[in-house]
Amino acid sequence: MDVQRKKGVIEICVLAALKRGPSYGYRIISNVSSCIEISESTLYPILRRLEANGCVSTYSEEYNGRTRKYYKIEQPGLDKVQAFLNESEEMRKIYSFVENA
Amino acid sequence: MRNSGQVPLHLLPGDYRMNKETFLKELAKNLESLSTGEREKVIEYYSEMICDREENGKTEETVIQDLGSPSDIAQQIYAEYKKASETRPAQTPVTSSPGEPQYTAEGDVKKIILSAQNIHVDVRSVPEGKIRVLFDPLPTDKVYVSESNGVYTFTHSISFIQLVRPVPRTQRHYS
Repeated sequence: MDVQRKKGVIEICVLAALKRGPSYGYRIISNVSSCIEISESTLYPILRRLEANGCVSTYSEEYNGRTRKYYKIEQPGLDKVQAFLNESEEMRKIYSFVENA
Repeated sequence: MRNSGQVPLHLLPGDYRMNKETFLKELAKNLESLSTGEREKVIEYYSEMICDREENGKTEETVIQDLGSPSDIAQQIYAEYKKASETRPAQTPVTSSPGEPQYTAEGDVKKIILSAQNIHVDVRSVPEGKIRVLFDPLPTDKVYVSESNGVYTFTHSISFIQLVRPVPRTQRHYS
């Protein structure tokens, strides 16, 4: 997949993973990697950007004697997921046009 | 046969194996140009990742290997920051008023450029890692401050202006 496109898709997948509830880095990677390849170094800038855009908020919790940072999806993030879903009908049309060429 | 072009070489000292501690140290070293806060965020993120991976049954060595080299990670992070700063709107110039002639830097200070005429300007580091840019008082003059990607430009003159953002020692560079 094209790099830019993959980045955008991963971002949506991260938000989708957070739609199920607040999560932390390792668990986000575990969830998302079931559908698309994602590494720690790919996830970091995505989380940072989502936080800067207000799509997610963060909080810390104690776990096993250390801190774990949790990410929680916020309304702009939910809107982004919805916008992506709204695109799917349009994309399906484009795919079928390309397939039948 | 191999092409005669350049072959990338990765040289590592003989028995050098990174553990969690040396990995994080190396990563921090590679991120020196970031602000302390941003750097700490990255380190916390990777530190948490390493712990979680280990707790899920991987050895420290495998975890470090899987993460890739600290310099590659740093490169990726810098590339991301560069992109973000390019899309950030330019800061509106600030005019200092003689009453409260203080300007607070919003981001990291990487470089300070001063432009002044017939006026004494003093730039020095003050306690707590701050940098103070001091102009000799001339109440009728004005100083404009603008910032772009950590480069602060001061154009001519007023009482004094203080940058109240800690600046890592290694990045101090005046011109």
